[in-house]
Amino acid sequence: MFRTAVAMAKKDLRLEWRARVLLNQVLPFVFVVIVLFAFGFDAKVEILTQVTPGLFWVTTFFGLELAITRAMAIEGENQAQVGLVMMGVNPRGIFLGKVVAIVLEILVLEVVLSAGIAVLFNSPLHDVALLAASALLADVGVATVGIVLAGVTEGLGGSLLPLLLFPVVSPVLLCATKVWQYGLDQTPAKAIPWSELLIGFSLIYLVVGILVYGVVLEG
Amino acid sequence: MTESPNGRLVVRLRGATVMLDRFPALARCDFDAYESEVVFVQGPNGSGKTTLLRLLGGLVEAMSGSVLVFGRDPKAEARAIRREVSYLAHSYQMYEDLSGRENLEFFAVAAGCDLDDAIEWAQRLGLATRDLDARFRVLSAGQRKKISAAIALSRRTELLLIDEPHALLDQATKAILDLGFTEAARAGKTVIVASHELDRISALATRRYRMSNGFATLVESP
Amino acid sequence: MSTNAKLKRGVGVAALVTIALTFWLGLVVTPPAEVMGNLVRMLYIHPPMAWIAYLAYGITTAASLLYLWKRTRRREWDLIAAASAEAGVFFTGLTILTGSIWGRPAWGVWWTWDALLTATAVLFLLYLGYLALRQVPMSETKRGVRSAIAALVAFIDVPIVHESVYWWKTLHQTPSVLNPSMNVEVHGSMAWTLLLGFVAFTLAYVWMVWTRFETSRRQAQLADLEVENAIRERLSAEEVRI
Repeated sequence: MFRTAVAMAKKDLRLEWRARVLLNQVLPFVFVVIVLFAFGFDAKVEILTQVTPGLFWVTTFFGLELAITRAMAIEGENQAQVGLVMMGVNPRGIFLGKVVAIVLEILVLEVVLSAGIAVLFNSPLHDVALLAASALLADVGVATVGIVLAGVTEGLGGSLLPLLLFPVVSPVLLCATKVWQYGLDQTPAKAIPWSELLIGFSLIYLVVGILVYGVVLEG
Repeated sequence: MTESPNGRLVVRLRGATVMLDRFPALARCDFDAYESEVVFVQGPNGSGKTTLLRLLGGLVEAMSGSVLVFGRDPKAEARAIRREVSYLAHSYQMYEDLSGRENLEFFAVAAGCDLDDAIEWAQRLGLATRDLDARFRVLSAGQRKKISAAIALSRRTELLLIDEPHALLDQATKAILDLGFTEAARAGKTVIVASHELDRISALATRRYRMSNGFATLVESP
Repeated sequence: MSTNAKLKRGVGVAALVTIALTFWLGLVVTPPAEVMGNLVRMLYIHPPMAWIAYLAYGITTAASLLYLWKRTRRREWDLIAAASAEAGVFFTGLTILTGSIWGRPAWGVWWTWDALLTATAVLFLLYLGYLALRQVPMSETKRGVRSAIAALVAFIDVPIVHESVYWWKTLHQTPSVLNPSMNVEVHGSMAWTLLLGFVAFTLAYVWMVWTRFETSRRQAQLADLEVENAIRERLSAEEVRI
């Protein structure tokens, strides 16, 4: 399972590095969002600092959705997924590999986004370790649910995935935003219950994904 | 498993019906294949050849009738059976932005088969090192097909499901591929080849079916 | 009429009668409450509707699991899951609507980002997505498997959503009937009316799911007949060729 997962993740990252689909689409999108928020809130630093956690996470969620869609598109091209299935490749390995690749891709996005916010909104980042850990957990949570639901909606039109995905991961948005808010306010103790819920969500769906992904591929 | 003068029975279909949506792609179809055989399935487009191969690989499910591959139900025991089945499909099932070699490397690790064998097959089918190292995206249709065929042939499986192998390939490669199929059969494997035209493989086949309207008629058996 | 159909009609009539009775008791017989006044009358239908929503999603999940497990896989489980989810979304919608009507005089707003309200809204969206998935044309097994997984993913989310929004905002009264200590705080004729409300809406739910299930099963059987015809047609074409 882990050998397959590693091969899968390496393959997806290599494909992304070569095609740069996400890099070319998501990074510009991030800057557009930052600029739009600055316009929308009249470039008032106090307000921008306040909305930073929400801005960060809403943007990241859209980035994640794009990354998940792309991860599925890779397998749809030339029906590579049928090849994987027909060679009896371990579905759990496929699932884990996809999750790892998406999380790593989105971490890059998050670094750029938070740096952009810190500089352009003049909003210093405190408790970077807490922010990073919660980001990692939230990304894992969204990516696991996303890969399962992307399998479920595969070939059924693109608008179905966000419709199914966003309500399910809405608690992640809530938790991650709260953790960031407390982190940036330098009151990290208050972030503990929210972090625990993030851990719980990610673990539960990681297990669910590992258990059902074989069925998803067969469907 | 039934013994017969032909050897071990590998595939046995009785009255198998496969619905693709509301359309019976296979209609109460019977079909047999034994070990050490090259089975040729000929029929026009839309007669159900691809569906037959997909059924044997567990990619589609029979609505009624019985399907046995190695004595087991390919849908219920899909993963176990697929370790013994190679499928060369219409689609290339490769990643566009990896080179041929990288594609083979990836599938070798993921599917647990031998990379050297796969590369050897690619070379045997006439792929130059330069072609192997070029991105899949820039290869011609025939070269792409060769890479897909290399992985299918190099997997050490007992049953080969081959869909229209000769489309897109030049004469020399067709001959090498045919040789590969006869070698496999001689080694005790079963090769099922589907084609819409009276293919050159017909001459090598030991068992022939003609398919039309989702039904297979046995034309010749050893 | 078969016993089955008679029974179903019985359930339907019982649902109608008990709902009518609930309205009569709730609007005419019971007195206004001390603090809440006439607003209390909403209590007889709002919690029962919310209960039905949860019951419905529970049934959808159970049926989906039975469908996913290959040894118990039957078309019927998939159809029950679908019928129950439809009823669930309907009653979730009613729960939000009645809650909103209650909220206007009680809290002064139609909508507030209170924990239970928000959780209910997310629940509504979760299963709206499930129903949207079911609407897409695909083969029967494919739809069955895929929607069963979606139902499973959604249901696991329900307690997590609750936990998170509960911490986020809490304004709603503690549920008055099913509070953790389980002692019923409503007394006399009011208690009986509320109890009747639960019975009435449960009966209505059973009737709805039953009727929907039978309709969709007949549709599926009709499709099976078409399949038989299609096979015969295809095979007869074969004979002509030979």
